Amino acid sequence: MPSPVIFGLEITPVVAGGDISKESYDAKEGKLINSGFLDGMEVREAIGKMFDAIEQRGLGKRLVNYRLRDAIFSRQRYWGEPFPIYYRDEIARPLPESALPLELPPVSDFGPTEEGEPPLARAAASVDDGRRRSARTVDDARVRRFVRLLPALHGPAQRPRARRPRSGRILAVGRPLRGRHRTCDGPPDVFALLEHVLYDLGCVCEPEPFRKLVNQGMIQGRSNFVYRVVGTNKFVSFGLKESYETQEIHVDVNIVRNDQLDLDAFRAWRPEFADAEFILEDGKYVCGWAIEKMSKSMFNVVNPDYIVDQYGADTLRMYEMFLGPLEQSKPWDTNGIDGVHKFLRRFWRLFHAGDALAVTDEAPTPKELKTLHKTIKKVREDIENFSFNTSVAAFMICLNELGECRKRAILEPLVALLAPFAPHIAEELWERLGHTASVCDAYPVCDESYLVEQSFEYPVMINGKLRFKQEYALTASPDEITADIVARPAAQKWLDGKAPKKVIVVKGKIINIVL
Amino acid sequence: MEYNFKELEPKWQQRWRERGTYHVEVDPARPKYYVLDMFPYPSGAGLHVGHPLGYIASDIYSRYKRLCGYNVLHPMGYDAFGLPAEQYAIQTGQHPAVTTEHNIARYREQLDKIGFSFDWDREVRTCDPGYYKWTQWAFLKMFGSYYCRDRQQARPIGELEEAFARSGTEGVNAACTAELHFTAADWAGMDEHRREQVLQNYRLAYRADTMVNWCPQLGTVLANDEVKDGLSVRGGYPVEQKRMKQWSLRVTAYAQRMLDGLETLNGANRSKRSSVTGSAARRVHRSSSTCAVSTANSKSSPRAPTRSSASPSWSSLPNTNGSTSSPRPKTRRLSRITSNRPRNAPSASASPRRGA
Repeated sequence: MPSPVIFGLEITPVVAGGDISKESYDAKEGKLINSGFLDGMEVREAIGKMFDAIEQRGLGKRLVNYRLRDAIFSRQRYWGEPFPIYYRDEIARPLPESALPLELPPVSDFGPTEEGEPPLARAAASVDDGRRRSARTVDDARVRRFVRLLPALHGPAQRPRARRPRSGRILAVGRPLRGRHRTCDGPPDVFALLEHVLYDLGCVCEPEPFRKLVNQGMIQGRSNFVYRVVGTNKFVSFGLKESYETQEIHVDVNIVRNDQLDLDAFRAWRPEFADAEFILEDGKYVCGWAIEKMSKSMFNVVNPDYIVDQYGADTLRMYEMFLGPLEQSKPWDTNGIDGVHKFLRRFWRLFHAGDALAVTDEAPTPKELKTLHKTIKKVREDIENFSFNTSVAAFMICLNELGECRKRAILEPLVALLAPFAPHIAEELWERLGHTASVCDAYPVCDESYLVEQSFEYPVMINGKLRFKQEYALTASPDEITADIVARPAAQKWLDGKAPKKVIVVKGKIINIVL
Repeated sequence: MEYNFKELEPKWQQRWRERGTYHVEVDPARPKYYVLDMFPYPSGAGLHVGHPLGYIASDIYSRYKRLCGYNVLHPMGYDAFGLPAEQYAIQTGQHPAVTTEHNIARYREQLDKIGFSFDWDREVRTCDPGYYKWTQWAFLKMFGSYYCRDRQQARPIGELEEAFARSGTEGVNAACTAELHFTAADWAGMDEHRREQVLQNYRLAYRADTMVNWCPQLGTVLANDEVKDGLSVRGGYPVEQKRMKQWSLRVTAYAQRMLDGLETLNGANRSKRSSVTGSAARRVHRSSSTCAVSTANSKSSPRAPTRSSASPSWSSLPNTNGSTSSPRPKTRRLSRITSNRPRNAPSASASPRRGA
């Protein structure tokens, strides 16, 4: 209970709309009341006016409070970069630039000294001429992970230089910094500081180097469980476990496929399970599952090497993207990986008949061209928007729509389109199509003209009833359609050789035949 | 013919290597594009499938941009300094460089299998002196600079020294740990130690007593995100609050500019990194030096650095003339720098400003 209520003090409401007899009312919206010159103002407006008045009357001044602290930058550790600082007469002095890099000296013992000093103190005294090197190392984890200053990137031993603003753009893909509470959506503060300082000193040309920063979501583990009947070495399948008293045990997810346990692999997994017995359902051992942090102790860590061995790198790449939106956390779940792998197999088969390349030079139909260009448009837009999961889906839809199309004019652009996602298969197919250079030539451009509807499937009404559908080019005139439609067998079935009383064609909409 | 990825993928990975397909050179003929990942810490456990997620996404983007005609720089490297390798070294005596090298080799093997278009000729290792030469260089830049609030930019510390010699703190509007007030005569009377202490109050990289998360077992300070429930995230050792001399960076001087910088990051959620309360603050943030001091509120007093109760850890280091340890006698309160001020003044900033 608020103290004014306890002490029976009178409370003056200042924002209209609340009932202060129940609780305090400090809504950020509403009109002010009982507040003199602020009466009738919206809360937001009043806040500003209030500050003006306080400043005018000399009662105080406004200031902005940043939720930010100066960053501590040093560590008492060995395995880091030494500060380019030495002490003489106990004053910290900078090393001259010409003395850089100040290398990490060898030490015999990596732990703190007996006096509790950092391990680098062992090497600190070795500097002559009254100087003592700093025993600290830099804690710049937040800088290190983004490296823009890179001499290594700008050429060997070349000092970062001021450059004219770049036409190029910079993108960073990063994992959130350690845990949700620390997640920051900008570059790390220390890194940002560095960029700003170097900008001020004329060393770089932009204070904020990134144009876009993407924070990927976490991949969680999908753990699997087996259920041991208590006191035995018998394991009961998930669906039957209610009939027994069981103990849930994490099982290595790498010996489970589609929640079905590989029994032999399980027996081989650990000695204690060598003579395990199973109570199966439908001849299978079904495992339970849960979404947890990916961790060794949960036996749910999936090594990418394993996926590459089983399905290939291209499948791994596409499947990681297919799992869901990049910025969202999601569980690793191999149950869908077969679908992605089948897609790549199917794509491969389109190009081949037996061992030979089966691509034809036949001209593509408007429908095939439309499917191709629709996919190009979708995939390009999706990549620009970092929506990779939807572009993988677009490829699958495209293949379904194309059916058995083996035409070079369609397949060749598709190979290039797929190259960023599945570069190995794309390179191979590109080469098989007769190219000698890498598939990095040019990305297919969507020709919007192919996306324009070329034809329309007219519903055909006979005496007001929908009898069938007939497709005509949108360029076909009503007269052409009238002449053609009556000759169609589907119409003849109703006309029975007679001429219709009337044929009404509404272009792009409907055909009406009156008998 | 079946889709034989087991044969085809290593074949192309080898060709890319042999042909230098992903090697990048400066090319004025093409527009440039820079796609940067956060470099992984090469841990002993190797990669799991969660790690490559971002690399795959950025690789698709890089390859796409390249296909669109850009000259794409897509580097990779390793954030190779860090606690785990050092803890392992303490336990086993194995030099951290050796384990780090080993782990990097393992990471590289795993990354190579996924077919990335990284330009490995430009690989970066943060433990490589050729690399940290430049972060040391950047540190020296920050050490040698202060932030001028009037000009809203970093300036060489020498300009501040000139200003002090000319007119003391009068007219100086600089980001600092504590507001100081002294005259040109005061400055002229200070010895080298005192002057340096004054300058540390303004340098962008400065040494100051700071409350830190100290982990005795790990023998180091830890960042807030490395401590959970009073225990170190790594190892689960107790963490205590301790006042220590630490190098700090005056990030707060740039709060508004960094916030503005986020505006140029399209798509970034701007609220989190450093949210501005936007209202007249009731208190000055504890260590924030960018805040003007509100005279209306007596609680507003930025924490002035005070003498650490324990002697600063570096002071008992063996000094150069061979004696094993000599406590440093000259540590002073910064607030005592202004010589004719009462010793019990609450803090430099809360006292009324004195005329020159």
